[in-house]
This record gives sequence, structure tokens and C-alpha cells, in this order.
Amino acid sequence: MQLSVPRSRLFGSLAKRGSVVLAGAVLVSSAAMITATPAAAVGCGAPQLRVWYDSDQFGTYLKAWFRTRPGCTAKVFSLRGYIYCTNPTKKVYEKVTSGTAPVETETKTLPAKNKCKSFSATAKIIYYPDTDFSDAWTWKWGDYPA
Amino acid sequence: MSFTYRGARARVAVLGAALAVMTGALAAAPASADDADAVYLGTRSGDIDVLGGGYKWHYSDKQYRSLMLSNTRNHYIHVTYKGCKKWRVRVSAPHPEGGYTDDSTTVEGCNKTAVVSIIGKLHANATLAIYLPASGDTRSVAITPIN
Repeated sequence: MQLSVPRSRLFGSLAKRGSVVLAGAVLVSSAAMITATPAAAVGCGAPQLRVWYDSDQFGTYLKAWFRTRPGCTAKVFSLRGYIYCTNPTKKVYEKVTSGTAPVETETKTLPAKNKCKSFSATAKIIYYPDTDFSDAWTWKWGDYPA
Repeated sequence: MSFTYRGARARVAVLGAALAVMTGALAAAPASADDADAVYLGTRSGDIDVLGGGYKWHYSDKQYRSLMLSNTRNHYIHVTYKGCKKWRVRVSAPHPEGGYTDDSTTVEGCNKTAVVSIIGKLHANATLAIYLPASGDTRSVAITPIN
């Protein structure tokens, strides 16, 4: 629900910009349309969850972030990822990012193994002008998300 | 790409020899048609209960130790769901050379079998997850290595 407000505002400004271009030169406006629309479809799709087990002398830390697919260059309205501890149930990660791909959310260290044995994650990406993809993952601490 | 091709061959072989495979976890059989450059280690099988009732997703994972690459275990996984749904299976495992990779297949229809395969580290678990795009439900199991 929060998303719809800034989104329509952005569409409004895009439309304004478009009409200005149209008034200036027809050639420029058609070029802008070609680059604006199909970009989201090429090499993009659903977001990816990445994890990394980082070790030092004190132990092993599970770090996680979400990113666009490698090769994607689309304009991302928002990429939002959530990670929950499933045992016990608790939200342990929520980050959002936007911009021109590649983009990724902030990396965060998830709870230690003795605090959380398993995780589930969801992520949703919204591309300009209005295309979205979601994915979900689960995994056990020590393993990798699938 | 050759790995994918082997996966396709594995599907044919397993359909023919499904009964023989079920008992395979105990004995290290010689390399089969699935993978000539690997030693068959056994099969892990079980169910994934995504819906909390009704049909479950049944998986069987044939595991091989690679003779070409050190510290490498190949997984060939078949998943069958008797009901009628659109579902995706995805497997992920740490790669012997670092990082991790995944493989996934989406199927739609009734009584479908999907095949995924992955190259994993020899002593690592593989995570096998079922995802239902319609509802967003997902469940996974950790498949442990067979020694």
C-alpha cells in the first residue's frame, strides 16, 4: 500500500517529462519509448537471495542480501526482501532498494545457529513501468537457500 | 551443459530401474549409465509436505562421488507430485570450487515428475525446496550426504 503513493507520483513526473519531449522533437520521444519499455524483460525476472558464511576465530556468521539477476540492466522501482527465522518465528531482515540494475539490498548478519535453526525468505521486485516478480526460499542454518 | 545432458539420461535410466534404485543406499554399486566418471553412493528419498495434508512431494536423490573432480558429489534428484498443481523444485548446494549454485524446474499438470541435478561439495547437504507460485508456499528439506 505504501508503494502506490510514490509510484503514481513518479509516473506523473515521467508523463510530464514525456510531454515536454514530445513538444520538442518527435524523434527523441520515440527513442525514449524504445529504451523505457522492454528493458525489464531482458535478463531480469525474479530477484535472487545470496548468503555467505563468514568465519573468524570467534565463530561463523551467516550474512544475507537480495540482488537483481546478473546481466539485468532494467530500472527497478523497488526490490524488497524479508527473511524470517522459522524456529522460533521472528522477522530478522527487511530491506528495500531501488535504482538501475544491478542493485542489491544491504547485507546483514542473521542470527547465530544457537538462536535460529532455519530460515524462510521472500522477495519482490517491481520494474518500471509496472512488472513484478516474487520468489521464496527456505533453508537450514549451515546449508544454502533453495 | 554436459551435466544437464547427463541429468536427462539419468531420467531415462531411473524410470527403467526405479525399483533397483530404492534399495541402493546400502551398497556402493559400480558407476551406472547416469555418470560414467563417478561412483554411485546411494539414494536418499523422502517426502516434502508443503500443504500440510493431502498429497506430498516425493523425492529421490541419487548421489555419486565424482572421479574427475576432487571433493565433489553429484546429485540427480527426481520429484513427483500426484496431485494437480503448478510447482517448482529448486536444489542448492555449495560448489566444490567455492560459493554455491542452484538448479530448478517448474512443472504444471497432474502426476508430474521433475528432475534437477547439482554438483555439490562431497560432505555438504543439499537443500531441496518446493515452491507453489500461486500461493507463495514453500517448504524445503536438507538432504544429507550418503557415505
